[in-house]
Amino acid sequence: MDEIPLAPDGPSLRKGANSATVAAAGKHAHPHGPGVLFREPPRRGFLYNAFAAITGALVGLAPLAAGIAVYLDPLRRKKAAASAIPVTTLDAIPDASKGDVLVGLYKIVADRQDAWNTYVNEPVGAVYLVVPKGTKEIKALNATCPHLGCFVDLQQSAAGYSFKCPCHTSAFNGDGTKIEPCVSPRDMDSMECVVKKRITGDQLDVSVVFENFQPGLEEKKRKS
Amino acid sequence: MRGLFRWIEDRTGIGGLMHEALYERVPGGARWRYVWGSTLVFAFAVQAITGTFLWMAYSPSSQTAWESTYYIQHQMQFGWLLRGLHHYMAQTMVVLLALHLFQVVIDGAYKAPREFNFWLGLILMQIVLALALTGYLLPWDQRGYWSTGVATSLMSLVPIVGEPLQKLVVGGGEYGHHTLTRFFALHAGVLPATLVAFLVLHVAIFRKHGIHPKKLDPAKDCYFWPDQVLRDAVACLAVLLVVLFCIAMPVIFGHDGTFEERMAAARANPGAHLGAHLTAPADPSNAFSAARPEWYFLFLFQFLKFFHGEDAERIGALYIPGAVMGVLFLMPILGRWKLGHRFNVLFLVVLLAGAGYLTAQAWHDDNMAGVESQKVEFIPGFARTKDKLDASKAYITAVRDAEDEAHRAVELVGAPAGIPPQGAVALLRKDAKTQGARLFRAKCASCHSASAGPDQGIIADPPSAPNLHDFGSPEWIAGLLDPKRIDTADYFGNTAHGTAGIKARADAAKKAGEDAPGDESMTLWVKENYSTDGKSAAEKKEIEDEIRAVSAALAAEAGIEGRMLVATPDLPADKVKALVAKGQEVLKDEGKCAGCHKFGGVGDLGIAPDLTGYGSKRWLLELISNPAAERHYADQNDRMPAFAKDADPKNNQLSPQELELLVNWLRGEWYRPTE
Ligand code: FES
Repeated sequence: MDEIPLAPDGPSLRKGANSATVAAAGKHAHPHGPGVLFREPPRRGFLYNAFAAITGALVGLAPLAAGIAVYLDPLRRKKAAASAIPVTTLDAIPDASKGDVLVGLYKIVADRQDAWNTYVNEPVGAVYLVVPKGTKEIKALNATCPHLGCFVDLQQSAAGYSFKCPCHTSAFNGDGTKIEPCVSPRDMDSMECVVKKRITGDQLDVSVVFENFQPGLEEKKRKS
Repeated sequence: MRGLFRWIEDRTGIGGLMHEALYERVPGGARWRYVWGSTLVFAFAVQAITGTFLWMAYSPSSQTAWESTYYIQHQMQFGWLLRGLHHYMAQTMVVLLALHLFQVVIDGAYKAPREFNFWLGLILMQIVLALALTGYLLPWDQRGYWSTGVATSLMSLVPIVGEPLQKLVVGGGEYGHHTLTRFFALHAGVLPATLVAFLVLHVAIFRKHGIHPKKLDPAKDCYFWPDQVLRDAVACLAVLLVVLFCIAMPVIFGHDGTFEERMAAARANPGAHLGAHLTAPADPSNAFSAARPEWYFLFLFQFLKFFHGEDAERIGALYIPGAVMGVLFLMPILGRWKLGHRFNVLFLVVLLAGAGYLTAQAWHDDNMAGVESQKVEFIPGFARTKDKLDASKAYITAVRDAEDEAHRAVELVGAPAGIPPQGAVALLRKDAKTQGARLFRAKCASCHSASAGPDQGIIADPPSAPNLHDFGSPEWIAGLLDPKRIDTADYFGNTAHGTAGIKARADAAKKAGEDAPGDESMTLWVKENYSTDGKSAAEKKEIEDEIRAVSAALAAEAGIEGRMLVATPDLPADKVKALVAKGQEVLKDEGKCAGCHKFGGVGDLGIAPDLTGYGSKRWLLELISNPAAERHYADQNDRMPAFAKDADPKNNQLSPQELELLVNWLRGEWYRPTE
């Protein structure tokens, strides 16, 4: 409003404002409008102007601030610490003396919170369990591509296996390391893998501390 | 009447505004090349109208987004038309934007005093692209879910604020309810409102400066109404026709059946055949290898394949697109010089050509295995390497799977039980047809195929265990009892029970100085007893009858509907019964089957699988849980792992639910809609 020139003095203010609107409509203004000529806009004290501006801003900002505060809520939330989730049992760790060995693809089943809903025992992700060549340790690889988050596919052939992302051609060796040239900034994300012998019997229980990581970055950064 | 008009006019000035709008002077006369701006306004109006009505039926949450979209598309009358209009008009809008930009730059319409308008136009373009991106996710189907995931992941590359920014956009660390509510608020509220505000400014400034005439020719000057309006209206009509054509495309160009058949199908069930596609409901735990952005973003998708590593990626995904936008913004300034204008035009041509090239390359990368494309191999970047062919094959399979799954999702939610409150994804997760196949692929297909023939079903590479397609049917069992087939890759050929396997085991035993394994192998027995070579016609018939009888009896044990010998006019019910009874006799004959197998109380366990209840649900559950159990292969088990041996399901490779899905899938038992 304050940019529309006001009529010079008090009593005619209303009338003046009216005609100002009409005048602002330009060349096609209504011909019957009361043509009033305007003088310089009125001068008020600095404080007066400042008060008007600040009040105007405040009434507008209050709802906006409330909205933004709510909008920022996700930043405040922290993810619960990951715990070891049982994935499978094995009779023995496969022999990887000749090459990488794939144990399999496993869904990770855990409780999941999605805003107001709690899902109990839902698949929340997937891991490839592998035994890298020459080692005797199981490695858990997150099936999410470290490039931009597609689901990495398994490629099996008579010669062995490797991982291939269906999105931007990233490929990984059987132990999860990149096959260069690779768009992915880092190897597949490995997670802590707990292998324990069952108290009764010789079976091995394999659990994975399942986590998701920020895709796209060189650094393997936990999603918070 | 006139009085009323005058009364309204005095109080509103509408008539004057209309007059002003319609009698804008068009210097040099109306032209077709001026229509792009108007078609864009038209397209936006269509989006606003169709969008508002979609809004009235759409519900943004991860349990209802797909479901409500499905309901619009398949259940609400003309829902397919409404969705189709919105979907394809969005794509058309992107094309129109490109054309408008092109026309403005070529005509030099961005030059002084129209700089601001050009800038406003570029902002509008960004808003439209943001609308397209946010809209893609809203149906919450696999395609939108996985493709948008790539786009939001890119945000983590933004320096410093990347991660919080991504979290704010996504509404948390992972996709969920709040991703939808936020995307929807942007798509239906914030972005359109901003667009309208900028559009008003854009049009107002455009009016202030008037049209940028292609050629000044005062003799041809005319008014906007009716000359230009007519052209604009015709152009809008053309746009609408293109959109309608896209909606009808599946029927016009479909693959199944003749055009008439497709027409009939579409008439009976328009939602399934017309308008925009809807893939299966989003499921974070189910891979979707056919994820691609909408075609007009495909060039960006392809572009990313050239940048290796984080820093390079940042250049490709942020800095180069940013720089391109920067140049576009600078165009009005550069355009002050003649050379600058030429540069602008050239830049735009190169940009569009580059995007076109990348789009074509992306398409070729994905589909080369399905097309004869040797002809384009000479173009750089279009070579058919083995890697690329493999990737393309995988992509084509993934697309086919995605289509099957989408189809299946619609079939399942159409079942009498309908959609449960947990959403359609719960139905899919319990569906033996799709999940069983996935489980088979993940757990079994490294050894077993399940394939009716080359290029069909799931094929192990190489198969080292029986092909389980049609398992438990008389035909499948007859194949196992056929001396010509038992030793092939479809049955025991590549296992320890085939001749090669037996020999290898014998050799290994010899090497180790142990006793050679006995000759109780099924393969050897079948070859010896069921071979018809050199036999008389009567003997041949006897063998064939016996195989038929045993197959019928075992299939009856399995009891799979559709995989049992049933009575036909040629084979009355009592004959079937007799055949089964005869088969049971053979099974119980200690000189034959029961010599190794247990059946119906005859014979012993521990040598070969128990044939009582062979192929039944329970039998299969037990076999898969622990093939080395006494009732099954015992110490004769070849490499098959125990998938659920432990009493505590937590410790098993397959959960009880998964096991059941797999068994049902092997038996071909899943929900089938009745016609
Ligand atoms: S997301 Fe895997 S290569 Fe891009």
